Amino acid sequence: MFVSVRRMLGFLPLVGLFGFAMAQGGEGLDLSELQKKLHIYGYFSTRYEKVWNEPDLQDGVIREESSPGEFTFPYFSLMLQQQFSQKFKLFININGEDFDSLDIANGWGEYARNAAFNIRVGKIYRSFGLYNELLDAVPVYFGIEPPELFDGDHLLISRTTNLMVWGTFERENGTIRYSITTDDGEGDRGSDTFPIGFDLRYTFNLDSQVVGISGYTSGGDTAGDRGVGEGSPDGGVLPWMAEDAFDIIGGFWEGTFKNLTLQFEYWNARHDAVRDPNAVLTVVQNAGLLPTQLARFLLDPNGPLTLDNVRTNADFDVETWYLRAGYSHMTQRGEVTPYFQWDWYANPETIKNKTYGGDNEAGAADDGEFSKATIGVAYRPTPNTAIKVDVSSHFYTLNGEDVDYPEVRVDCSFIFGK
Amino acid sequence: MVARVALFSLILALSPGFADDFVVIVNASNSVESISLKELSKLFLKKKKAWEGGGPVVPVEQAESAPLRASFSEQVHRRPVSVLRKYWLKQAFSGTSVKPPEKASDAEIIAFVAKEGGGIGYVSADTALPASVKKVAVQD
Repeated sequence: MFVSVRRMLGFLPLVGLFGFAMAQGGEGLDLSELQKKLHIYGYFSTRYEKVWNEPDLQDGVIREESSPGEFTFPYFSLMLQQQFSQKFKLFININGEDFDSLDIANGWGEYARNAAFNIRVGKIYRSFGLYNELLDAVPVYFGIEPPELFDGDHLLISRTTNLMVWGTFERENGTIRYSITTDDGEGDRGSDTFPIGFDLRYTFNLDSQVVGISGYTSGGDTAGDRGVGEGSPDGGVLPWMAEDAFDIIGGFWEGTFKNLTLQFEYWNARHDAVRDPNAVLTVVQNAGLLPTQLARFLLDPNGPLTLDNVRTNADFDVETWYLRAGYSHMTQRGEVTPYFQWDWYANPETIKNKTYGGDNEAGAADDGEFSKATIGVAYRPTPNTAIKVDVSSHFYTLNGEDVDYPEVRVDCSFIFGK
Repeated sequence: MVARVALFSLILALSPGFADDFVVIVNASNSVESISLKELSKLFLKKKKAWEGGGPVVPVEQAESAPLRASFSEQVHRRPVSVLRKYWLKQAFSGTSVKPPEKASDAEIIAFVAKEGGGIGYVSADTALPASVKKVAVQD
């Protein structure tokens, strides 16, 4: 909690500036009391997941391990949204499992000059693809897990930013929406970079079709927000990098055809990075790397663990795409939505051990590539309740062999408020 | 000839005509006299937030289970209520907007629109309208 509060302090002055503007601004204060109402809403969610027969390389031999089922205690997200006038609004999104783990995921103020020009300041989920702004709201989408680019242990990019200019342009048959974002960079370790993100999307056929592109540049060499041994990063820079300049580009499409919804996204992150030799030695000595990963990190994998033996140059691409399909069917007992997902993700630089900043999916593979097929069903007995069950199979290469393992998940969520 | 009549009847049956089971109403002070179907959809989805005169648009909806709501959703938005529900959840959870207030009866809709200068709603076509609100023509 203290970390979250400390991070919040950095942008609270900006939100405060907006509050001051709201208090002073006379223009546009023409909303009725009803329109100025504070809206409070959110959801509770809980999840169970279990993995069977996960392959693991031990002493050169692949062995299978089944981990105990994990139960996520009720997780909540509480959102507050208030329109102070036609031009000013505030949004706060608090989430966590209990009061000790409260996190202010979002807290921003927005000034709307007109439809084409809005400024949002604070801690903001950047507009990036189909999911980032909705990723907290698992009851809303038909799957349980987010797409791989925003999976918690291998984010392609930091989810939040601090300044976003956005707007919409209405066309005859649709709406163009743009956004440009910037912030103080990936890490907390200080950098003088000027990162820029953008998103451009066209929504048409009465919102049934969305097509767009998003991108990001780190604006030069940057560092991660986690040191080695501090867990997986909250952004796209791995902990053992001394510096990393990276650019991301991708596209997305969503189409709704009657009851059928299809989604597709493709992303590429090009990293021009330099490894920190000391950090790499710590990882090599403690993180339990695969032979192929040792060969990437060390000039001579069988040589001494010295700074001179570390391969510092690390230019690599992270790539991912997914296809999701869901068919919504209303019955007398509620809405039933069977769904299918195929995810592909490749990060040749990562490792498996999450404590050292890795990713236990891509990092488990020789080449950092894996595919995941998921089938599931979402059942909504009432509009506010969602019960989801799905099964995934992971496919990848380990020690030169094609391997796979299953995973099952159950998720229950309840939306409250209006 | 019979085949032509049958074909014509089929085309008529399949064309997305605008049913007359509801009328769209605005506050009597609103200068709007007619509105296109596309614009109506934008107003109720809060994609267009201000009237031409500059005041805020304040849509009000029928209850989610109301048959009139289903008819309006299919004819104006060309989508079922369940899809629109997800639209509003996405708007709310991303902080973009919140769904319009819902009222349980035509009388409550009329009272709301009469009170809110920028109000817009829809009621059953056979509902008697007071002088405080007025009907707006909808163009397909």
